[in-house]
Amino acid sequence: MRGSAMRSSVVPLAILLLASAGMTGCARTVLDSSAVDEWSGDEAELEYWEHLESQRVVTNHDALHGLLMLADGADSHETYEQRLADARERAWIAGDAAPGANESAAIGMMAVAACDVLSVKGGLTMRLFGPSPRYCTRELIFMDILPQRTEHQSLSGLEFIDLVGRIEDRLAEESGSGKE
Amino acid sequence: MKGKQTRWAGLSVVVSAASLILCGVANGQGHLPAKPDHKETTPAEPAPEQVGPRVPRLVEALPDGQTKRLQALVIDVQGRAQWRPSDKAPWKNAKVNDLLDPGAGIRTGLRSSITMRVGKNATILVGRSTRLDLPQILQEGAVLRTRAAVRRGRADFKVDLVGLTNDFAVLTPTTTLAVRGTGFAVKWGGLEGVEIEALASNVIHAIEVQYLLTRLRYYLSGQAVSREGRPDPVEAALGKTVSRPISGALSETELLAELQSERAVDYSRIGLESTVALVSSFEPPPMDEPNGMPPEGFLLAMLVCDNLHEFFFAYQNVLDSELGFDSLIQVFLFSQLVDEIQAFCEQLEQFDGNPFQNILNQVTAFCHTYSSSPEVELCISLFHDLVQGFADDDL
Repeated sequence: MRGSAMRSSVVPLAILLLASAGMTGCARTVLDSSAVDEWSGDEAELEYWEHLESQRVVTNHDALHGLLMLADGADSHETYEQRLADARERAWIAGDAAPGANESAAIGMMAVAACDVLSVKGGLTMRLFGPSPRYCTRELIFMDILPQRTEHQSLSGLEFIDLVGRIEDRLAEESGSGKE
Repeated sequence: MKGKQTRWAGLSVVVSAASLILCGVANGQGHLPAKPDHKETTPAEPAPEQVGPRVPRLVEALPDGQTKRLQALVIDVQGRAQWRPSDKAPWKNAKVNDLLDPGAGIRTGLRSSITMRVGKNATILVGRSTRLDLPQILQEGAVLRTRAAVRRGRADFKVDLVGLTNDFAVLTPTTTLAVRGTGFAVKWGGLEGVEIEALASNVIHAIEVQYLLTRLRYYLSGQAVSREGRPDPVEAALGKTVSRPISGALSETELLAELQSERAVDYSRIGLESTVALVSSFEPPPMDEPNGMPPEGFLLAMLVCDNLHEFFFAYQNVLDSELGFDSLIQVFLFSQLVDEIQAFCEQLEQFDGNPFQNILNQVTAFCHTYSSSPEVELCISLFHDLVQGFADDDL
């Protein structure tokens, strides 16, 4: 009698816990602010990397700032909206997507930017349908730039710095100015 | 016609021989084959088997128990690079000739790098988006102890064999690596952790040579102002807490191989120690009264002069670029010496019809200036034979 009563109270609790875990699992982490909010100019580049190093996740705003600096050598934009618009023009982000500035950036978005910077043509699917978060992520894994990850995962600040550095190394190798 | 051909062939032999002798003397190590010695000698004890390459001692050891803090010297900066003397100090932009003490931190941005000569035995190329600390750079007796911590990014480490014990360790957040006398690149990042790659040796050598050339321009431009009361910190550090990069220096084995294979050597690559020894021992041969010099004798004299001049001129560049402020007086004396040789040779040019004996005397005097060299007799006999050959051929 006592056992069946206990069972009847545990089961709904378990279902509630599972449901809440599932809901938070689908949502992206949101930080209070991004490193680029404080360190945005070209002169502040080193401070930006320094502060990004200790962030537990890299936000969309930080990722776009870092990737634009990688692509152009400098990031002249001042706001997140300007950076987002630039990223849409470059097809790094789909036109209808509106990721939050302080939301954790998805590896897929960063992989599409990397494919653009590195001019990765990819396989049959990418050539037919264009670069997508899923296939660009797989390409970067194939190129040994990313370890085994999926496009929906996020990166820590330290991992993002490493990713940008590895892309830069690959660029240097391809341009023939690699280390000898 | 045949006689002329023979003479020119002989002259080319003289050129080779003179180069060979000059190089042999320069090294003071007897690179020429030794003259056969017919005296009976007791067979020497077999030398102990040597493990690894023979390393010339380029850095002097300190007395036992003595410790000296060394420094790092920035020799190249590309893009955005900063350093700070300690964890709490503000960052400052790095520039060439900055001197860093142990405990300094370095950081670089994208497409940036900074290269440093660290202590007396290493060169570090800090690559893109890197954080690196130098917690320890010191010499303890005969040990050069260095610790470099790569917090993230990439750094290339080239550790030279300078004759002392290298205790060079690279620390990363996950591993500690030791370098004994070679080089490698260490990458540490959040994605893959530590990665070891080949050293960017060509890049580092190019930077080292470029820095030495910059120092050369510094001397030649007449800006080498360093006073006792206000010494140039870089000049004061070079040779004391930081050694000059040794790119381009040639080991004796390599030099001998080069001599034997080509009989032509880039003199500027011979070690500094030999250079200084040679400069301090050289005296121009005394001038005798000219009395009729046949063309061959004149050519031979000019050959000796030309070789000497080129030889010393090459060394002048090395001295200018490699020696620190303490040696400026030596450089000055050396310049005077080159001038004296030039004057000697110019004076010779005016002599017409000097006898062979006069040239022989000069060559003998030249060879005797190296009285400490085991090659003196060989030098004299070689020149005598050659000059005598010319004389017999001509007269």
